[in-house]
Amino acid sequence: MWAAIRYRRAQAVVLVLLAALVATCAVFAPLYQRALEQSLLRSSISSASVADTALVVRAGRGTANPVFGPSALSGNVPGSVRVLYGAPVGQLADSINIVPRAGLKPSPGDLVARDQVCQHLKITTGTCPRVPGEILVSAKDLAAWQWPVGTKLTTPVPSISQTERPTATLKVVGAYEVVPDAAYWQRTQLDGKSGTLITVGLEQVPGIDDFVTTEATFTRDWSVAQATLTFPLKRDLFTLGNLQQISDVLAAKGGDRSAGEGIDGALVETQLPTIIDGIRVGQHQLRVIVPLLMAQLGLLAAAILLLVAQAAVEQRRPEVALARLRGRSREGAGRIVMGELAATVAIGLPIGFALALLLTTLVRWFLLPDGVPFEVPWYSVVALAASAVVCAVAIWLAARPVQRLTVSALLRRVSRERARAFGIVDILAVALAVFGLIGLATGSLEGPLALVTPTLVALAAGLVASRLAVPVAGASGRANLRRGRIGPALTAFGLERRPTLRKVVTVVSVAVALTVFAANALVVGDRNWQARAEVQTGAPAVIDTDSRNPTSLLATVRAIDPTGTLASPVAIVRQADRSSTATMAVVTKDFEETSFAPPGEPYRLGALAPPDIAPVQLSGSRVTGRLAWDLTIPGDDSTPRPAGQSGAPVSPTIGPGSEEPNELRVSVTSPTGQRLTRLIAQIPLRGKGSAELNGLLLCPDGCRLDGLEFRKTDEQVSQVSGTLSITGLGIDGKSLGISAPNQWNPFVAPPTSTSDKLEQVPAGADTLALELNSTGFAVALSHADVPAVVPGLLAGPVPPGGTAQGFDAIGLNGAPMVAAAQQTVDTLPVLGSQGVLVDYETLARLGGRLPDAGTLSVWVADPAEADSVATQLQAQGVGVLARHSTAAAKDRLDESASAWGLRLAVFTGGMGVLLAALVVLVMTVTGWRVVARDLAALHMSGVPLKELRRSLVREQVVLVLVGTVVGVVCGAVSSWVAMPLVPLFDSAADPVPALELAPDALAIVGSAVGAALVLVAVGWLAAVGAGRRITLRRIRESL
Amino acid sequence: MSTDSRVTATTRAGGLRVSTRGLVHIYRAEGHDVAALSGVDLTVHPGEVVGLLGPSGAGKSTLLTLFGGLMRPSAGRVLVGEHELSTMTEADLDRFRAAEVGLVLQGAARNLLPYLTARQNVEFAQRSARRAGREVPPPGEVMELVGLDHAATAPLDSLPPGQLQLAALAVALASRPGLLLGDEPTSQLHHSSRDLVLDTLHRVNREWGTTVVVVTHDPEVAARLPRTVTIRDGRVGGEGRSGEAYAVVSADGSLPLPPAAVDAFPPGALVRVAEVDGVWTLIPQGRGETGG
Repeated sequence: MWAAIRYRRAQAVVLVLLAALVATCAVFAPLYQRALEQSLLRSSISSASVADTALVVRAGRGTANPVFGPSALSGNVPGSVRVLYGAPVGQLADSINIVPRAGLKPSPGDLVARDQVCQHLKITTGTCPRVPGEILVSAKDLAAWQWPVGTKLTTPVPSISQTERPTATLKVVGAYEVVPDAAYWQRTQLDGKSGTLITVGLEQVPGIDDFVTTEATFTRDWSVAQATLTFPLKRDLFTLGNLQQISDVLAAKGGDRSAGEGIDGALVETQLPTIIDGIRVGQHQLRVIVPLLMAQLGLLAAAILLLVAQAAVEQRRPEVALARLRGRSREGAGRIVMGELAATVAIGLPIGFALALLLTTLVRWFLLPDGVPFEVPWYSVVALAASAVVCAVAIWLAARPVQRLTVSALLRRVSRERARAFGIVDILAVALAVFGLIGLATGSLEGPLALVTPTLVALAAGLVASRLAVPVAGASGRANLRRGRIGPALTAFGLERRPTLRKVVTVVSVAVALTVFAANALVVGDRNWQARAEVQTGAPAVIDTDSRNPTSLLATVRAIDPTGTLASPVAIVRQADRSSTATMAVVTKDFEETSFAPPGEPYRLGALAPPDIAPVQLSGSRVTGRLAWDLTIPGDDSTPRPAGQSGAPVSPTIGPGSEEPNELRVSVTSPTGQRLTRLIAQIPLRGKGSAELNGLLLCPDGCRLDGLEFRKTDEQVSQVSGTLSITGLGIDGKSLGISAPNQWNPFVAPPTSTSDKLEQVPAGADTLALELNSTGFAVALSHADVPAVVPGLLAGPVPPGGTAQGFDAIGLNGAPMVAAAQQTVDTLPVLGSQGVLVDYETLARLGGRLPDAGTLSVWVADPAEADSVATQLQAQGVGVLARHSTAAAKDRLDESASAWGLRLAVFTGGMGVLLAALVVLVMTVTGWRVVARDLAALHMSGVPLKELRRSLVREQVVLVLVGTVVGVVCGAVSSWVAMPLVPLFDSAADPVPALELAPDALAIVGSAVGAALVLVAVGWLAAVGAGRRITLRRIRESL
Repeated sequence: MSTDSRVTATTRAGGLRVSTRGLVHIYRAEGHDVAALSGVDLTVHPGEVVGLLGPSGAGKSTLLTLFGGLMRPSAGRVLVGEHELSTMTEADLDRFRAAEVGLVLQGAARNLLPYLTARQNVEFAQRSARRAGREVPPPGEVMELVGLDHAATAPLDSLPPGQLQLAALAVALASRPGLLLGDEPTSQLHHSSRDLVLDTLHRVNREWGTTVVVVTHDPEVAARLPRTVTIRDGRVGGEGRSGEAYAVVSADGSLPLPPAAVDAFPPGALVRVAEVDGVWTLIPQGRGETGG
């Protein structure tokens, strides 16, 4: 046997190599998958914040447990869970309301006692609190409110009791600055509120940072204090092996605590199950992608092994014949061949295993994140065994036909001509391919058949093409011969006669299809990740600022980039409910310059442009003008009213009466964005009259005119209608000149009072005449510098209660606004599939500061300029909170499970071409003697040697090209129908933007050309080599 | 004529008797059938050395193949020793080939595994015989018998054509078969090599008593064989014994005329077979009552 192997050394080397490749494919798949799962685990855990992975137990004091500290919550965590976590950090906190300075309204804050808190604070003044009642305040508050050490602050103590309202006095003993330490602070944020406005009810008050105290401060009076105990995760305990176990343990958290331990009703929370679920989703993706790619390659490798084994067996026919001649049985003779081939293949299998290990190591070094351990899971050995079985089956299948032949048939020098009709294999392959294609196209096919359908399609097409090529080649040969073209005729007849045609065309078809499919999958995946990254960031570079003032940030950015082609401010305001429609404001005229082109239909940004009416700035002390009214109460009610029911007296008072007077107010927005109304006239509930306006403006720093508001304050009256006429509306006697019709927005009736109106009607010069009907509390007319209904581009459903023509949204100052969808789009940058895009400049006119849930960013068109823009922003006093870039977002997506999985496409594509090249080579090596003998006979008949050699080269090139064309078509078809099988994103939710899975023409053509070049080169070299062996002595050869 | 080429008149104990009765073999090809043998009646006695002669396509090699149990006849019987080959199972035929018969194919290289030495080829051939329960001679003895003991371990591609043919002969003799069949064993050989092979065939016949049947085109080779059988158009056309040519009466009483006689009696000619003066004579129509 070994002598036989040595005799055909080159062929043995090829077989060893092929078996090694089969084993490599089989073993590398589980090794790679395992390594990717490890990467995924590490990536998921390391990218999660400390707070996300921590276990938090929280409980509030109450009547059942009026006094307990955080340590009491320890009993709520079962021992089996606790081992996963490190030493906990306890915290006790409650709300406080502090009047920061006499005369101001109280500001809300928190009083916090946290374990070892002073070790994580920088005490800028004073000392750490030691006794009950002592507190640290933030250094910012200390400076802002001038609280010296020793200051005593009083706060009401939150209580369940409706009757007792205890208070607590807190003594400032020092000031702190937070030392950032995510592992300690987790989600606790003490500072950041000082200097900001906080909305409390209808009022805005200055925010104060949290106070730090000792646990002892929380006496029995603090009966609703919240205790939390946070356990940081021991990340190194996490392995793929115990993922399920940890998940099970966490699922049972709190359920098996010992009786008598812990606090009843305590909540045990952790984001860890979500993270684990994410890892599982990734694992699931890998279990689709890796087999999807490797199954194709494995099928190709097995098919090639079968073909090569068939060629090898065919070459050993004389040896089988001799064995039969000398009395060996069919089985015995078959065993000789199978034994030789099996021994050869057996050498290749461990080599393949080692190659797979080497490849995995290289992947770990160069592709995957650090820390992925070197593992050889047991199922990789099973894969090796499976590859051995596949090889054995291939050899057995290849040897069977020879075993079936009679001795006399074996002794014939030329094997019986193969039937040209379609065989069972062809029909089966075509049937499976059609079934698979239909299944994929209709989305009804899953499982292994779905995974190998792309290869099956190519296999079936390759088989059919190779069948059809034979008669076509014959016809072509005869046609060329008739025309006297010997060279092409020789090529065509050679193709017709050679048994290699079928094998080479089929294998090249499958290999090229696999390469095309793999290349396309990679490119399409990359395309979708890029689109997702662009949507996630919105612009190539994004700088999140600490600015809360849209107007000032706009001015700052304009100073940096007057043209708006490089940088542009963007505001995003989210509502408390994350599922609500968020607002994104962009400078529409800059948008196309600084942001990515949105996916789908182009945005109609022109519809969002700010109105041409300039804002009216009010500066002065009094609102002046002359008001005339003519009001009636339709269906006058004569219900007696109690005496003395009246609103608070205001000045000026016009026409006091027994009925509650109506109010005319001017609405303004302050420089801080607060929308305020100023009473400028009280108008009798009904009747005619006129009076001078003389209301206080109360805008020392100036205000923007927002509009006019008519309030019907008399609750006994259901409706007031009539007219108002304001002449010379101005400030301090100077008319504002805003009576023209285009100065005011059309009235928008509230959905609940559709008969309400406050509409401008024609009037004389500098006179604003209004026709009104009020059934509710107020009707208002807004100045036209900001539309009454803000135009926007809506992504996602219309918010509840609204219509596309009018729905509630949130403005940049946190105030509600009504928006209308000028266009419905699929996706908005950053916000994804739910949000409304509005014009930044329009909303900035409303003034005000961004609410807490808002972010003001600067989008930069050129990432290379992001540093410069950030530096200039900081130079102008705008702090930079965070920087994002599309490249970084893409990098994150590139580290997702699907991205890692799809990188396998590079391997499968390369291996596909390599395997096909090997087949081209093997077919030449195993068949060159016969070919050379044939052509030598033709040479003896007078055909020039040069012509024969050229013909041989043409044969190879034609074979490869036919296979390539079939492969490209099949690869493109497979790409079209099978790409939906590839999970590109970790989330199970509908992807945003919508997946774009159309095949990439460049990837298909490029990969096909690359594969064709390699295969043609190999075929050409092999043909040249075989051509050199065409000598007359070949005619005498018999074995 | 050497002593080896003398007629072996006596029956050898080691040789097998070969006989056919009404042997017919038809090759079935696409669209038409070709009758290679159409009623061959032939007996080769144990220990005989017989040459099969005849033009190409006459059916010589087919007959040899049927003797070797490589094919089954379309009709008729083939008896080799005690074996009726046409009715044997495949396994029995395998055992028969392993132990009872040795076949030398045309072209020495076709008989040898190219990656083994001559001795290893002999050993390879002996495995099946041993498995079939046959007591086989030591390989060295076989090599010595064919006069190749000096080159037993040399690579095959280093052997000259004559020695390569001897190696093929050695492989066919590996199991000490009772019947040695050779298809053109001397073709493509120089005279000296041809004589060497013929001498070896006779030595084998003499020393082991093996029945030898060889196909040859070469008249010089035929001349050195004690008995030749000419196959013509799928039938036994005549025999030569010690240089004398004979027509052979078939089992059905027909008598194929030798080629020279066919000129005198063209197909369709009417002849009268009559005994004249104690001699059976063919008398063409119209020649009177006396023979011609």
